[in-house]
Amino acid sequence: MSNGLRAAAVLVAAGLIVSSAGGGQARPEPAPVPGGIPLLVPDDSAGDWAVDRFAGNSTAGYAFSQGPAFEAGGIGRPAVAIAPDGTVYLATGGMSWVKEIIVRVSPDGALRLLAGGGSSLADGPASRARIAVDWRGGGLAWSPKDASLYFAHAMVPAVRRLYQKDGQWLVESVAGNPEKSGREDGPAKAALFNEPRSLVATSAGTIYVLDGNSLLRKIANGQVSTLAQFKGGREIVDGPLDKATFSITGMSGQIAAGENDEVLYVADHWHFAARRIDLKAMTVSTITVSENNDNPKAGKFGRPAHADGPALTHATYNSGLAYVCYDPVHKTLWVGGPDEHRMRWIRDGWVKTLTGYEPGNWAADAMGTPAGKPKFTWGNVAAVDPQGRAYITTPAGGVWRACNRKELEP
Amino acid sequence: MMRSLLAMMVLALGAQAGEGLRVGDESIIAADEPGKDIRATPHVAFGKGIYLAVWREGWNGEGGSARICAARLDGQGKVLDPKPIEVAPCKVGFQELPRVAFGGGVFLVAWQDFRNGKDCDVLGARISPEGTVLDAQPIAIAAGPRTQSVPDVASDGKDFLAAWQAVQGEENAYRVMAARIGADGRLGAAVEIKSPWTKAGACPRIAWDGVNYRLVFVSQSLLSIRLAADGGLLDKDPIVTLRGNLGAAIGFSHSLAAAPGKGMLALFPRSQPDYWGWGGPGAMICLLVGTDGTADPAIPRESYPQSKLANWLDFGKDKKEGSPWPYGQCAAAWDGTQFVAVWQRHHITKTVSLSNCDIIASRVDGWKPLDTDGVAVAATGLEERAPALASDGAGKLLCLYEKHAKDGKVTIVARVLETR
Repeated sequence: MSNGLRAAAVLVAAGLIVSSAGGGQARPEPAPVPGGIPLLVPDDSAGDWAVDRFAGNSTAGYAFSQGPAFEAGGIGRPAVAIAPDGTVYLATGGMSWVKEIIVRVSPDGALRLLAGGGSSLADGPASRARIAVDWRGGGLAWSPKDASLYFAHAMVPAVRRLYQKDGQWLVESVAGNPEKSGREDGPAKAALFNEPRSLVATSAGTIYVLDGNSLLRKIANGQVSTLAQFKGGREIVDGPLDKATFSITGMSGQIAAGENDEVLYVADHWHFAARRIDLKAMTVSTITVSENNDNPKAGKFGRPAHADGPALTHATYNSGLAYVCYDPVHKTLWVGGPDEHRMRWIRDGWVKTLTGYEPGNWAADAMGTPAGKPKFTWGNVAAVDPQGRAYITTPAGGVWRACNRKELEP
Repeated sequence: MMRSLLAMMVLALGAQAGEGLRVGDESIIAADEPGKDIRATPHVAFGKGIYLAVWREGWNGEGGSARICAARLDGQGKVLDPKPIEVAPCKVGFQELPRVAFGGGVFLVAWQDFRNGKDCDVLGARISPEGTVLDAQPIAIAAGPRTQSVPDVASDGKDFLAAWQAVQGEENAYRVMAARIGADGRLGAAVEIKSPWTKAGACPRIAWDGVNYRLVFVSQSLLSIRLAADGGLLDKDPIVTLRGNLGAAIGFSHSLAAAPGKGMLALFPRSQPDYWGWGGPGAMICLLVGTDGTADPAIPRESYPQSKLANWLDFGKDKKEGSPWPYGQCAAAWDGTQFVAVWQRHHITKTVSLSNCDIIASRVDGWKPLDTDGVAVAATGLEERAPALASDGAGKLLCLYEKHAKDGKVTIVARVLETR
């Protein structure tokens, strides 16, 4: 479908255009659009995007297998991290919210197991390690500084890394004690974490960790410090980090890397908002907030969940804002609620849709599908690679990759 | 510590119970070599007075060279091959997910093999009751282009049927395939089992019910189809054994055991727990599948029940730390007069994850558990996982499982279960 046709279809769906009945009959009145802006606003580039299956196969069942990534079974909904060389790391296997193995998909598309399946929490061979990673994309991060994959999950109170030495993959607790929880700053090995579950690795090797529901911890130069204890509160308060309010409870929320090492983005789940933390100025600002907090009658415009539009006034999410993922190539922020069936980003202050226009299950063999065609349920953009390709995870579908084909053409 | 002590007491009580299921001593099958302490996914079959245990020995990840190993045990569970038998020595790739059956005087082992360095194939090899590998070169059960994986094998007493899942041609959906393998090692033509709706299918499990093979697989619902002893399809289409989008609740974890002339017992876990309360309750579910392929209509239908149903072996609802939650792998066997099932029972952690897995067993009358609280086969403070079960058909069974030490070493362990 061309851009124009797609835009027309969207407008029809939004009730702005009703086809002519012919014969001079009166046109029915268009349905009112809450807030006067279509509920679905395709990004200008949406027609250039396509979606391919990347890893995992929804027909393969739950037995893990290695080989071509899109034939691999047992991938489910993984956490994703990407190294600068294009290698994609996935934390997968296990239960829905505790991922117990780590695999990598090399640039040639081969998927191989790196770690997990064991029961050891001690430092040592990855083959014996008990891995636990939060699937929501916040529990896995590639650190270019030491070529390591950092990972965390609330059930293991330590920040650990997976790295390669002399050809062997090893797991090491970098900070905290995997068998003892608590809250202690100081030397990394002696420090204690409570429930680390979302982390960011900067280019300088600093690791930021969302510990529990409110602690922002920092690991740098072998020391752990507490950067902030988020204040709670029903109302959103921006400004100084120590005065800003967040609403992250019950293992919700996530932190993500920003446009440089001094910026973090936060999925402020129960404020239905994406927040930006400027670590240099130690300030917080709101990038988008759902105008209705999941209640169509509550907002100024009464727009239902999943609506696009101006990010601070008209856009809406569903059941909170579940994820944020900064795209350094397009310089945009991917955002979404936990039950969304579209991939959306914020561009020029508007939340716009890129792909996945309808809910439904991914087709088993959908490869190279135009962006408007894929159907998926509960997807999220988990990572973006150096070429600007977005990696989308869904509960049963594994990993899909959306890319702007025009941009990738030589 | 207290939990371990209680578990040991329960284990001791179970062993003394007498009237029900008795659990024998633990014997370690592969203590030292050659897999550098990493072992996984045991399976077992009985024939000619011995059990043949098979498992993955070594690491199956990058840089690993896991191999399928085997060892014989006598009817009392005594290990006859302290040095494991390497089923298919190979210098490249890795091997994993072995399954074994006995028929025509030999054991047939099938596994998925990554020796081509690109994708999995399904290979097999026969082993004599004397412990000799009869196929110097593995039988290429399914070794075409693209992925062929997750094998299972069963026997009609004379020959074998192997089943697996495969991606073929330009497709990206998995199909279920099956082929007869003679006791002499000759491979028959593969047949494709098509889901009438999606065409796709995965995770096949097969058993011989005394007249036909019954193959059960997952394609959104749990489907089943009959095959003849010669490997030919007896039904035009599979029928629905259990309707529903089973997803994670069944997948790879389901297991199947046949009772000659009576039907089959299908076992599978229900939901996993999660922090937010989406999942649950947890259960280990029994379905008696009749010779017509349908589940017994008397089996209770469920819709998020809050208490244990009559066909549930085990139950978990409480998300408090330490509470039991059955989930994951399970196995079943026919002991000559009744079914016996073994399964994983985990315990809830502070963050509503699963930990400290035990192995629990129960006798099953039709689809009703007889040991309503389950009998602890292995319930220490360590992780005991991935149970496998085979029976001599006369009241004795051998249960294998993985035992994970705190340092990450894994041994394959066996216990004899007695039902009479």
